[in-house]
Amino acid sequence: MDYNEIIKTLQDMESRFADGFSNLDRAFLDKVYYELFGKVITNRGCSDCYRDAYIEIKIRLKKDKTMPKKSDYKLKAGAVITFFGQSKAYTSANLTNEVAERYLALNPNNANIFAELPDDWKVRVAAYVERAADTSANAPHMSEEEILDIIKTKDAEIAEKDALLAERDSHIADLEAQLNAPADSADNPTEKDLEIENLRMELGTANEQLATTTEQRDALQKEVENLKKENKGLRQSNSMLKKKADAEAPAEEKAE
Amino acid sequence: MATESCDYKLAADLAANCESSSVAGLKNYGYIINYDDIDFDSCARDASNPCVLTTLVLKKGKKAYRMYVPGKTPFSGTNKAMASSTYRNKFTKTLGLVILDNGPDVVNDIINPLANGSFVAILENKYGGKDGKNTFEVYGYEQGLSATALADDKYSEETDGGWSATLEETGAPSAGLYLFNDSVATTRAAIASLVAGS
Repeated sequence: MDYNEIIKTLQDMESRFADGFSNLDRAFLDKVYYELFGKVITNRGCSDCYRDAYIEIKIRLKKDKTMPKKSDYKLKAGAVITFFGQSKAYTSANLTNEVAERYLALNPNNANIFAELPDDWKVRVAAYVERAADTSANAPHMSEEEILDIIKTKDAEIAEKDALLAERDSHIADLEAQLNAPADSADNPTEKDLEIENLRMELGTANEQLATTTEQRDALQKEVENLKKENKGLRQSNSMLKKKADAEAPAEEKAE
Repeated sequence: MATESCDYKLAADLAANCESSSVAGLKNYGYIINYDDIDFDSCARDASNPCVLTTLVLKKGKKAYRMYVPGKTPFSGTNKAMASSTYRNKFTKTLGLVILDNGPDVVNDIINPLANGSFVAILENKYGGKDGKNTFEVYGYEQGLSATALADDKYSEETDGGWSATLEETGAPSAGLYLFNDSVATTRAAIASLVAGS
């Protein structure tokens, strides 16, 4: 199956995502998941596992924009290639041409575990053997003394770097000790502490002044209220007197 | 070829494994393969221990099928027992399984083939042994597993309308065969490729 076909099928399956996919969909996902990741979906009865697999496949294909390049070689089902001293195991899912040719170069009879071999596999294996021989031949040959000299130089460099690291570690330890040292302000106040103390005193004074001023303001406000009341009373009595005066004036004019 | 005499002698102490105590039981997933799908010519055993299969490969285009039995005691009834014989004793290996499904597809694709075919099964032991080599055990590799019982009891509380099956390998020379290639992880990768097919 090529990339475009798989993408199209995945898009068709999107409507069935919530339902957990049909058996046919799951078989498709099993196949594609193994091709992409080399692993099988272990829990076949788990709908969430298939949904997760669907998303993983989509993300991988969206990122790579192509299916992984397949090797020209294919192993039989159950066949695994391992190399002495290496932990990685190769199956059809992660087999590369180079790994296959390397394995075949060890023993041509190893071809019996391959399900598919290119027609020119023997030529390719021979070419691989030549390349491998060239690589080892081109490696510079050094005498034992030269190698020992190089080792001594490297050892000296390592010792130097270790000394530098030790110096930095002790500097870091000093700085940390300074940071963690408790402040003994009671015995030896710093300038900053004195400044803080002064500011605190000034603040205290300012607060007291503010309190006093506030009291005075309140008292003055009360006085103003009282004066307003007095004023009002005086006005009322003044108006009453005026009225009385006005009433008495015409009576006197009549008497005259 | 000269006649050889077989050296049937003990080669190790009969002691319990104190570092890694044995544990009873099997895991819920197993694998079953049609006997004829196995490419025996390409299979290989461990040179130092012929009871270990290092490579089990299938013919081109063939694949293994998964078996899943839920519950705490899957594949109940699975056992191996010696069967006396005239010249050389052998082993009978029995595999018990249930198929919690039914219908025409199940009958056509599973039950009918099981009834008359020959199979190899791989089960995963809960006890992997000190080095993991006990993890995957193979049944039927030497003589093939054949069905000795297949039943569909509509009122069975165990199978709930599904099938129970018993497969047996008789006359197996080896008391046990194990699939192991380098490590458990590598063996799992090999089994994954069996299921994926070629």
